[in-house]
Amino acid sequence: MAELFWTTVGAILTLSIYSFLYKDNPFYKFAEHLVVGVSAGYYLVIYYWNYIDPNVATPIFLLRVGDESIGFMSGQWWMAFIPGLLGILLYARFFPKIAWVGRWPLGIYVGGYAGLGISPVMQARVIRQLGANGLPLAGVDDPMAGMTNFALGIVIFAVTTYLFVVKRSIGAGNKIARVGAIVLAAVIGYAGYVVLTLLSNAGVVSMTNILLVIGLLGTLSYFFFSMRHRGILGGLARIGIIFLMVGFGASFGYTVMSRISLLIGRVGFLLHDWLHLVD
Amino acid sequence: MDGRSLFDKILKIDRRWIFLLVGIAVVIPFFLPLGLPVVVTPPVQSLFDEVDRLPPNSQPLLMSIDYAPATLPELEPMSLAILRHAFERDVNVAVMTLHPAGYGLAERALLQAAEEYGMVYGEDYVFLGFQPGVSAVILSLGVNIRNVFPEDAYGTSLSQIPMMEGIRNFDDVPLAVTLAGWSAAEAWIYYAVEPYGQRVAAGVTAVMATDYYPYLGAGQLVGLLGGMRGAAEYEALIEHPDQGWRGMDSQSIIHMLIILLIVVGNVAYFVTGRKKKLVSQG
Repeated sequence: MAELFWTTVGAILTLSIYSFLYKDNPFYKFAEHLVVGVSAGYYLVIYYWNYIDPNVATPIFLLRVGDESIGFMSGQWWMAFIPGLLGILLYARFFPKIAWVGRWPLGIYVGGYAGLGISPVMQARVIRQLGANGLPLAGVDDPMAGMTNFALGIVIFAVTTYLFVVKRSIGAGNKIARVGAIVLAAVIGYAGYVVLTLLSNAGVVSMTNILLVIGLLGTLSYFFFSMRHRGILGGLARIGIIFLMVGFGASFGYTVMSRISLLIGRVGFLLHDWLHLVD
Repeated sequence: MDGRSLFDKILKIDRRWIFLLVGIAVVIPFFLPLGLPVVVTPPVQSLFDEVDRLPPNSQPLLMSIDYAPATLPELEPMSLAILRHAFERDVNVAVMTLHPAGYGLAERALLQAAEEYGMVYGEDYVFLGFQPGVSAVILSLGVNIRNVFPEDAYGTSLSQIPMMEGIRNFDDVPLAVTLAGWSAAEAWIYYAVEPYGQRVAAGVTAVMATDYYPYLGAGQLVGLLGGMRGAAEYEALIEHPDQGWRGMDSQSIIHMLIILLIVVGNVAYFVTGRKKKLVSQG
């Protein structure tokens, strides 16, 4: 019975939140404020019992943590007291006259994290990524080759169509000739796909790696602002824009998927957990 | 009504009609499942293979369930799928969380999967609970797990838990999996992969997935699940369809609807834009 009650409460709050899609209303406001209030209360309790109690209060006042005695009597209480004091000093910024004191713990905090993080972050985000782009351009077992070659086939088709129809104006005023030019472009695109597949299978090239390296150089060129984007640099920057757009498109698609997943989760809760209409 | 006035109307449509369409598209597959195929991608297959290679009843799979309720629909199906895979193969599992709101969610997923497979607490699985301080916790796990988790989540000393006997640090953990809706997955790369060479796989929300492919490509992650789609692929691999699989029909329909709306919106924009240009030219 209690489970049904709380599930119903959850369902009503879910519907209240989604009612905002129609327009702002008191049910939405109530649910929104409830989320903020409950979250603040929940996190306050969690943070106290997981941060302050075991790391500050217990070591200083209650003498024991786990199997070790590290309270006042052990002489190690200062190991908790000093960080605790620094934590309290952070709140000095609320008092203008002594606000400067708050910079001390902040400096220690930032310095500590910088010391902790610079080396592994540099290693993970710069050095390893640079190494990962030093790729063999031929003779590798390439699991993404099929998709890459297919994508390149479509690119060849698109470029050829552009050259035939827009640049050369083939079939201007003649629909049959225009369709013929597009069909020819499709044949060329397919032939490109076949050739790339044969070359990849033979280990002559790894189009995935070549594409990755071109994309990297193109994108880096786009963000190189010390020279005018003309000539080779301009061409590379244009290629970089294409790769950036593809990247943004992928991010957008994933973002849509993520947001829709949340909606699916709530709909599943309403239909399955609350109404028991679906298995 | 000519075509252009129709496109004019489309551009001015009340967005609530689109919300309604999306709502209908999500609900219908719950009642009429399409059973669309789920194709497994290499990053998911790679994580599955990693778990599949873990020795049974030996060194544990360490799972860091680092998500909050806001990302539950995407990440809980992943947790359940990986836990089921491990338990089906009698792989020991140690679960922890780095997110303050993750305690209850991690425990819920762990207990559900353990109950399904009749696993015994302390022998087959253990719940270490929550520890604050993400980077410091991960770095300390590499030195000695007992420095960070002297006790399990229920107050039992790790030395009294049979499964944790001889498990000291990352040297005794063949694989760590982080399931995170925030930057905890990156922290695992910075502080477990780089300093200790720990094998780490990640399950992240779809929004985050594109950010993690470079780590996968560089070999810093041994597998990657991206959003509900990743969970559905894993469920397909373990042949245990559940929440992820069920959601993919809705996902597919919604994506088709959104593509259609984008195409219609762009066509309407260009058609009406041309019209306005003609009007302005007199």
